[in-house]
Amino acid sequence: MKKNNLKQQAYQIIREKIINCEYMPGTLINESTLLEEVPGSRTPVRDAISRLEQEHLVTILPKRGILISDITSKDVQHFYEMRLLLEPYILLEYGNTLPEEFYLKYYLLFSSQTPAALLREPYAADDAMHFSMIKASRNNVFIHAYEKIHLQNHRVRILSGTVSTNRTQESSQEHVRILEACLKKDWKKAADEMTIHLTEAQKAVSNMLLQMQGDR
Amino acid sequence: MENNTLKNQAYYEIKTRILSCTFPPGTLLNESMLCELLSFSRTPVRDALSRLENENLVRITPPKGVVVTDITINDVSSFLEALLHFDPYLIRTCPSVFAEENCSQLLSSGINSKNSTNDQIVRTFLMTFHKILASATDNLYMIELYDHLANLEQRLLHLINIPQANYSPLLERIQTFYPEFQKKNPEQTAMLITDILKLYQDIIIAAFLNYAKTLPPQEASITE
Repeated sequence: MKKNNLKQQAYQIIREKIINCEYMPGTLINESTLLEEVPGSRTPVRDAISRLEQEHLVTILPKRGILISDITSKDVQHFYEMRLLLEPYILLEYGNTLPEEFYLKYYLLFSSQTPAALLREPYAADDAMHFSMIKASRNNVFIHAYEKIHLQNHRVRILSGTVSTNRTQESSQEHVRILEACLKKDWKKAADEMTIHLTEAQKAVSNMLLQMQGDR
Repeated sequence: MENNTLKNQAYYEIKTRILSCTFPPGTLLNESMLCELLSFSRTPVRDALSRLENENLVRITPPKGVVVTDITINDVSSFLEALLHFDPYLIRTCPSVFAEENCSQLLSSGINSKNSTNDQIVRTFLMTFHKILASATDNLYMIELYDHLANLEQRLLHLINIPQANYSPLLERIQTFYPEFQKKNPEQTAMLITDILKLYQDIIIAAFLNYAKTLPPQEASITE
């Protein structure tokens, strides 16, 4: 019982630090650094690292250390390819399975001028809305794939710091247009607006990543 | 590096048993039992289990539970919906699907062999074709998704029982697929594969429902 708790703890602590970019992508760390961060001995840390390697968050380089997986523009291209494949399709096919209140709630949130919730946690509402839409498909394969993408998406956002206010506003407006179409039950239009939104988001993220790599 | 070899061995040994349903869905496994059965020590077995968990093949619930992941009717329809959605997309967007070596690989996958049974021909065709699709993209998320689908399909086909005769209409369509595929027309290929997958969907779902009837009621229910 205790052993498993330690394992789980080590895994969660290290994972959190990777996802929040406390360990920067592309850097090399060693086991002893990790040992200082988590309670317990080598075993739970090793266990955690091997789990994280399967999630593609780290690569173990024998005798050299643990490489925190980098995020390249190719990765960004790949996870947006998946999102573009899944999200418009799911809205079109399953948009009508979500209740009107769901769309209304997010519509009001994204259309208000300075939504307090958005200022506090700029991505929480965004993430929650997109993920609920994916779940509406009730397709385990889609949901499983999305969870993996989501993890990397989160890292890119943290990495690129707070997105420019401009983009945040644009993004809110795009959300409003998607939700308007949903409230009118025009699923074709909703899917098209989703495609536009994801394409714009991809552009913004790719540009930011390029800039950062230039700065590094 | 010997460590890694052992880990890999344990991983493949257990995975093979799950994919072939030697360990059927819902089987309760435990570390000690696996160590004894496969003559491995704990570390490689543990490592293998966590890899398998990541592939959604087992569910680990501390302190000691390791269960081979169930297959529900929802998984079956998710699997087929995913193929129907992703196959045509890859055919339309990845020109390398139509590379020469893929044509010959598909042709040599046994379509003309008189000794094969219907199910062997259909399964080999679909397996080969999906391998071709997965290798035509460089998107890791997509490749992983196809791996995941292949695992699910393999387990599923061990569970359900499809009468040979049910494969006949599929077989006919596959035979008309080859010459069309060689013309390298993405639109036409995407349409034909959609047609094949829809038939496959009907056959698989009917067979799965029959299988579900044989289960004790609580296991047959949809856990959703």
